[in-house]
Amino acid sequence: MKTRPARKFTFLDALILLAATALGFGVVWVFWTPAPWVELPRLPVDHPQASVKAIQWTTVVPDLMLVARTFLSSWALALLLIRLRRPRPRLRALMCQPGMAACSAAALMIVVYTLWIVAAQIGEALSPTVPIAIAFPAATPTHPVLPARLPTPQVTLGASVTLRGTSSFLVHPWVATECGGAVIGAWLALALTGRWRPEPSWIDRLGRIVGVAIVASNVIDHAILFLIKV
Amino acid sequence: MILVAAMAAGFALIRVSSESFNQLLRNPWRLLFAIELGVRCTVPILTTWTLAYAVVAWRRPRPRWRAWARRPGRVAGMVAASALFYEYTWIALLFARFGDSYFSLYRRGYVPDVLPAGLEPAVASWVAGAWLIMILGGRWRPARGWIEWFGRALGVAWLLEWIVPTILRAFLR
Repeated sequence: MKTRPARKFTFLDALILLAATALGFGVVWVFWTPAPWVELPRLPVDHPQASVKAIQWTTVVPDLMLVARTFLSSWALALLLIRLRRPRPRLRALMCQPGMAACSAAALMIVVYTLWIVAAQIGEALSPTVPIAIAFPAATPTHPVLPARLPTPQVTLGASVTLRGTSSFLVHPWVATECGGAVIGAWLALALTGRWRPEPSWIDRLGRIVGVAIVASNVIDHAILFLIKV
Repeated sequence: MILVAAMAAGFALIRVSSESFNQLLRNPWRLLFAIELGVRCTVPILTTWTLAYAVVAWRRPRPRWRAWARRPGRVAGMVAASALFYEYTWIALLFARFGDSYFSLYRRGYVPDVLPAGLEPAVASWVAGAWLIMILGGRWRPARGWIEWFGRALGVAWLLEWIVPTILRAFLR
């Protein structure tokens, strides 16, 4: 099969990657002033025998993962943009490249989670209060102390309680762990259909590295609990 | 027989999680909790059907591998089953690590709500990623037959279980 020469790294590519890195820093900064409708995943470390060292690790590692995932998401979007710049192969050929597949799948999840937050904000604008039954499903609405409805911002109590009760998760799109699942699903589809065709170029290599890192962050999210010493 | 057994296993999972259903039924916020109840009723059955589908789709006679792997229903079924296997493996490892009961680990937030619902975002994201690549890569070749149709229905159901309740929660107050 005839292979076209890989596109060279241009100044505009560098600018796009730089802008994505700046965006990553911006989102990291937002973490320290979180919006009330955004849940930042935090790990529970209430095991009675958890050691101090383990608790430190299980606090630090998820925070590092949040920061890493923020940059990975930004870079995935940037690489998608860079990959779609001309000259480029046809879309069908592009979709056989694992780097492109990983970035597309991650971008899909970011778009979905962004749409959900937009929908939640529209819902908030339409109705600025939320029924107590949604905010706290276990609460009895006829309880004398609790009002029937609460202003929406008051619903968020700390990082672990979300806008519409504990059963819904509005996660910041830049840190969604589902990006890892989408990348694995995309790579599985490529492997199953026999279309795993990596391109020997810097764009696809970077895309594969970002994809592996996104999957690794998903695995670390699961594995972090094993640090707690029993 | 495999699907009937899976259905029975799904009903057993629903029965195990009856406590959370009672909490939903007690709540006066009817429409939203009816939807929540619908999700919690269907996810256990979807889970067992997906695992059963992986067995059914592999049974002979089946298409050749190349043709098999281009069928969105079969790919969705296999990817969803792989996602469930991945998530349940982590939960099993946590059981082994802590030697505690599921409910004890769940109350501490170590494991997701696997009995009624909780894994659908993970499974749906795997299916979404796989279908995205099949569609954009021109590999979407649906075939006739109930196995293919059933696989596609499973894939769509996982996506809906994830998307619909989240969107509705934003507006149903």
